[in-house]
Amino acid sequence: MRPEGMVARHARALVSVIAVLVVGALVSAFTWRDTQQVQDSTQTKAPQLSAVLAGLAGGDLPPLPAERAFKPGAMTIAAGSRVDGPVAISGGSAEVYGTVNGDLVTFGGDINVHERGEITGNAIAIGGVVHVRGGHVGGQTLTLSSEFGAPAPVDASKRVMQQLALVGGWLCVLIGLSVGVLVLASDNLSAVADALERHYGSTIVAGLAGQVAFAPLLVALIVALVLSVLGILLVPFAAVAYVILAAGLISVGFLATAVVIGRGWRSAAPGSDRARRAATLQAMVVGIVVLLLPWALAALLAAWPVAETLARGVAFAITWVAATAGIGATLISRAGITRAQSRQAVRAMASPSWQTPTPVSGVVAARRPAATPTAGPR
Amino acid sequence: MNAARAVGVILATVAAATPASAQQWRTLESSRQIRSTDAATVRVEYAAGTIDLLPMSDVLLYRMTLTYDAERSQPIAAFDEAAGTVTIGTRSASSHWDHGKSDGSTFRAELSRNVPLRVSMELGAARGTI
Repeated sequence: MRPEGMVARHARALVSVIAVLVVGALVSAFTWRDTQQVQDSTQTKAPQLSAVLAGLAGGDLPPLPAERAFKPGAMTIAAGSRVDGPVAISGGSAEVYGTVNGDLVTFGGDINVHERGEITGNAIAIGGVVHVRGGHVGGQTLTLSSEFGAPAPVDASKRVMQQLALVGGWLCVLIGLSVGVLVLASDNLSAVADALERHYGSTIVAGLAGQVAFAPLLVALIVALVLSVLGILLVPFAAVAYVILAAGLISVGFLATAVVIGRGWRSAAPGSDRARRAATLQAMVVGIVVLLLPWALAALLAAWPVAETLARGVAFAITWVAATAGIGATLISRAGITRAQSRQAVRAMASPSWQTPTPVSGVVAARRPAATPTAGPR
Repeated sequence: MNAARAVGVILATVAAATPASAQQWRTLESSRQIRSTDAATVRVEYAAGTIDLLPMSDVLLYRMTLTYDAERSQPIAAFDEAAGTVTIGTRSASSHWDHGKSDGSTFRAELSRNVPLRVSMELGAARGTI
């Protein structure tokens, strides 16, 4: 029996943790949006010349002048005049009425090659447009549009379907995992789920402690093995085993949380072992679906980046709380090993194999030693 | 203690919600005027995305419009004057193919009808109209 006050305290703890995480998700979403806006403004209005030149350096394009070669402002090549290239300007347009003997490059401005104007080399406009208005360009004409860095249009419905497929994949994986855990560690799972129901507040704290202690414990294990000299050879195996063990504990804990959530929807009726397992599986599937619903909602919002980020933050918060509580319950119940062993012992005692007849033959009882007479007082 | 834990949780959530890597979409337009009616060679290299290769009647030898992710591919717009060869398209920036990650990459090239052209293509995971 749980006191009502304890239940209320646990509920308050859960609500406060989720509230903190939701606030974090909101902050994250708006920070991300602001960052995107800043990036867009810098990339579309005032991209950094050095970054642009560096980004184009890897391509197989006509060679670009160094950053220091760019002169600020507009430029006009008068009719009949001849300028030796390469000519590079930034923040203004180039009007070509005469001849540029070589390349002409603008950054943040157009190139207008007017009638009888000529560029013998390449005409390259970064963040501008090359207009050939009756003139002549001997080399390549290259235009890197002013939409520098703008995202390309992505098919929203395709993205939504991809995200939903991902959630569906996770659903299949978790259901497969739950069947495996039910077959191999049913008693452990029940014990962890019971611990989660009984000590919810403690499980959150224990789960947090477990997450914090994960890396230090691994380091301590490795150090201990190294110090033992002979154990150095075991370091890789121990590290892998540690990670696998942690993954197993997390999985059992998460599935136990799903069981508890599912039991809330439909509690397991007492019955045979098989019926209990079926009810546990049912509860687990319901719990997994409930835990994946926020992710499915986030997938449906994939067409709206801010809403998607927000929904993902909330989904992450819910999943994290569920996983943390599960890890804590696993630690508190020692992965249900003690109870699983006692249950196995009870089953073994109830097994017919122990109901053998009392042995009719045995060891003949030893003769009771006769009392030796003691000498009387003299 | 509680405040520190809350700040840690918020930071972890912010870090988790931050996109791991942003795509850098760029648009490149390239063209070249016809200088002679001698035969030329056009080499098209395109790693992945949508491709459209069309004829045109213009004073240009070719005109290319390219939308690409600078994180995954590099643009090509080169002309070898001696060999009379134009090479256009994109090349994968990494050594492996990024299957299924080329959504939004487009390549549209128009080639002159007025000059005899020999077109050779090296395509990856591309689909489109030629």
